[in-house]
Formats: sequence, C-alpha cells, structure tokens
Amino acid sequence: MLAYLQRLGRTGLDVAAGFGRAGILLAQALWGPIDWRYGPGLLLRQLHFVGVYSLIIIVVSGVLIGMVLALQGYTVLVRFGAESALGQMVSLTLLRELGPVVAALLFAGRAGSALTAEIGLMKATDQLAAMEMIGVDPLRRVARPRLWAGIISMPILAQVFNTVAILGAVGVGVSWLGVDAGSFWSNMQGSVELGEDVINGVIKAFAFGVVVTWIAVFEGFDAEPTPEGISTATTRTVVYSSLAVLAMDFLLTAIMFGVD
Amino acid sequence: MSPNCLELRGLSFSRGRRAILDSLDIDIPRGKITAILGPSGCGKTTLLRLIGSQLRPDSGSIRFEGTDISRLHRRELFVLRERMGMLFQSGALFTDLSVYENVAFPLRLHTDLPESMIRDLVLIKLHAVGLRGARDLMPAELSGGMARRAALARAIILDPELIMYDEPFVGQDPIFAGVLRDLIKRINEAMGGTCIIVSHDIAETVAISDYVYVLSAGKIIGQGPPEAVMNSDDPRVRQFLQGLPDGPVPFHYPAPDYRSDLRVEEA
Repeated sequence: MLAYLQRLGRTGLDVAAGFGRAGILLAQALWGPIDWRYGPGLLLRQLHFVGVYSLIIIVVSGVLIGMVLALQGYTVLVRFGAESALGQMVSLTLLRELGPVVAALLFAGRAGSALTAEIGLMKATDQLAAMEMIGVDPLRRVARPRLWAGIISMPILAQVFNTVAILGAVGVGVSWLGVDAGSFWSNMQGSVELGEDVINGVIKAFAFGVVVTWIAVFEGFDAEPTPEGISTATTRTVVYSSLAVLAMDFLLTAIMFGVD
Repeated sequence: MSPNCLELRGLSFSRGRRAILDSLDIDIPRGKITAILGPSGCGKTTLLRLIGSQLRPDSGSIRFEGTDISRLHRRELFVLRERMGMLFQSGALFTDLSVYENVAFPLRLHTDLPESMIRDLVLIKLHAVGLRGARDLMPAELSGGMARRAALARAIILDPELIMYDEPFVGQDPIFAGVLRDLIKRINEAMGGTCIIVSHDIAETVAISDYVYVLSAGKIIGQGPPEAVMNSDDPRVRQFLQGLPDGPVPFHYPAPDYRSDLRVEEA
C-alpha cells in the first residue's frame, strides 16, 4: 500500500516536473531578441520540412474526407428532400471541426513525429552538446525555428485541408450525385459566417499548431539518447499531441459555440 | 595571475545515489597538456561535461581563468564557451552540414569575417587534419576516424584557450592515432592553448602530456609528471597502468558469492 502511494506520488512529481521542463523550454526558445546571425534560412528550411512536406498527406486526406462527408450527408439529407443543404452541412462541419482537428492529427503524425525523431537523434549523437560547446544555444538554433515553422504552417495547412475537402465534396455531391450546383454554393455562402466559422477555425488550428509542435520539440529534447528512448519519445509525441488536440478541441468548441 | 587555466576544488557530482565524482581537486596548468587517465566509467567524460558546464556540480567550484563557471548564468556561459573547444568521442558533426560548413559553423556564428577569409581559415584547419580534399563530403560519407579529424578542425577553428579531447585515440587506426598525437602536440605548441586529454589509452596519452592525473571510481588515485606516475608504487595506479585484470580495482561488478549463486552446495 505504502509502495503504491510512493509510486503514485513519484509519478505525480515526474509529470509536474515534465510540465515544468516543457514550459521552460518554450519560454527559453521563444523569448529573447531575434538573432539575425541565424538568418531567415533556418526558418524557411523548417517551413519547407514541416509545412510543405505535410501538404501531400493533407491534400489527399482532405479530398477523401470531403468525398465521404458529401456521400454520407447526401444519403441522410435526400430522405428529407433537403439535399440542397449539402453545401452548408459540409462546409460548417469542415470549417468548425473536422478541418482543424483532422489536419492537426495528420500534422502530429507526419511532422510532429519527424521533429521528435530528428531532435532526439541530434541529442543521441552529441550534436546538441557540440552546439552548446561551440557557444550556440540549441534552444535558439534548433527549437525556435521548428516551433515557429509549426505554428505558422498549421493554420495554413488546415485551410488547405478545408479547401480541398470542399472541392472533394463538390465532386461527389454536385458532379456525381447531382445536387444543384447553384443551391450547393449559395447555401454555403448564406450560412458560413466569417467570424463565427472561418476565424474560429483558424484560431483552433493555430492553437493546435502551438500544442503539437511544442510537444514534438519538447519530447525530442527530453528523449533518452538511446534507440529505445527515441522510439518512445516519437510514440509519445503522436499520442500526447493527438489527445491534447482532441481535448483542446472540446474546450475551444465549448468556448466558441457553447450554449449561452 | 595564477599559472592555472582551470582550477577544480572539492568537485562532486552524483547520478541518483551513485557518486560519479567525489570531491576532486584538479589544477590544469595554462599552456600545458594535462592527461586525465582512468578506466572506462570512472567519470572522465562527466568531468569534461562539468568543465563545459553542460552539467552542474552538486558541490565544489570550477574556476576557468578566475571565473567560477558553475555559478554563471546561461547566457554568460554561451559567451564563455566560445573560448573552449571540445572534441567529442563520436565527433558530433552536424549531419545536415557538409564538412566545410561544419568547420565554418563557429566562424559564421561568432565572427563577422568576410567569406573569403572564412574559406581560407577553414581550408587551413582542414589541411592540418588532412581533410582539405574532403570538404564537400557530408558527415555520413566519412569513416569514424575522418569524422573525428573533421570535428577536430571544427574544435580548433576559433583558436580556443582550452581544448578538451574526449578519448581522442579510441577507434583510430595506428597511423591516425600517431598523426593525432603529433597534431595535439603541434596545436598546443603553435597556439599556446591549454589541453585536457581524457583517455584510457596510456601510451599515446602519456607520450605527449606534461602532467597526468589518474582517476578511479570518481577519485584521484595518482598525479604528477608522466615519469613519476608511470613509476608510481601505488597498487591501484600500477594495476591500471600495467593493465592487470584484477587487483585493487575489481574486475567483477559487485555480486553475491559465486558458489552460492551457482547453487553449488545444493547440487
């Protein structure tokens, strides 16, 4: 019993210490003046690595999810003769929920895991220690550009996801199932609000971008510098950031769209 | 001014309950080559990490040219480290940069030199380690020995006051071990910098050192000029220097009695 309590207490302390380390990492990486010696090249390279390389999976998944949404929505709506509302249903679902959430989950799997593995390996091969000994702060040179790249890329990726998903829905709903194009688009236009739907979706995506990249970079820096350590850290990145995205999505939805 | 570049006093460090270093007092004389010898796992690498302040000591002080670096603020440390160079056991080249860019890295970050001068300096250092022709290769294309030579060029590019070598001779073929030994000596004479070599490779290290410390289980068990240490009659030092498998430094990791462990009595 006592041993159990001790273990519980130890786990609690470890978790608290982990949060503390993660907070310190974020503060030290983002705080402080921009160092022009590092140039914009580092950020551009990370934007390429984190953002552009995630495009393929985001676009393909977006199209497929848009197609499925249209198909499922149509089969329900057509029973009530309301298939002309398909555009409204698809666009609101995507802009408010599916776009930011699914894009963030894909982003965690594609870019988050890669960030963790890369930083973990740099640690295991002493590259981070060598950087410190050369007098360069790895938090500034390694963590900072990666964090910003993730924070900048995520909202853009979510919007790309929404766009191609809506196009996928048009393909299935309008071109295949024969929903009237005019009513599809005008219903969408009439129901989507810029502030309520589009901006809130962007805010969600931004928040997910911060959390996923933060977890990924932290897990990389915090990884045990061994093969098992890096594989555990990579898994943790995907699991923790997926759970964090889903939990935050509920919170943000409650704040943004909750009943008054 | 003290003749020592580095003075460690009462330095202790432990991981969990295991003491790695136990109140060490070490002086590293300026401009000389000091060897720290000891068997694997005796805390040598930890000692270098403490000097580079990548680890903080539990107690004791580390004075580098009069400044206690264990008390320094993070930002001040990064400035101070520009005056130190370290050759890691693995080389630790940045895998996303070519050999040339690896060596140029400290120059680009800490100086405003024009590109033509950076090129000259990098080529001079690469020539010194025999890798001028390998400048365009990526670290993954180098052999272990070449990677360490490239890392050496990077470690000395800023002409540091203190250069630390972590097991420089491990895994090197005899030719390069000899080359490296002469190189360390030459760099020390040419630049007048202070060197610390941490190694368990006695012959190579002692040949070029001015002063030797022998470390075992986190304590200093012998020190002095190389000849004095080589002729020491301390049994622990003799065991290590002569490579005897068993002696005061135990060969066996602590274990229960062999016979009872094998259940000889029961059988």
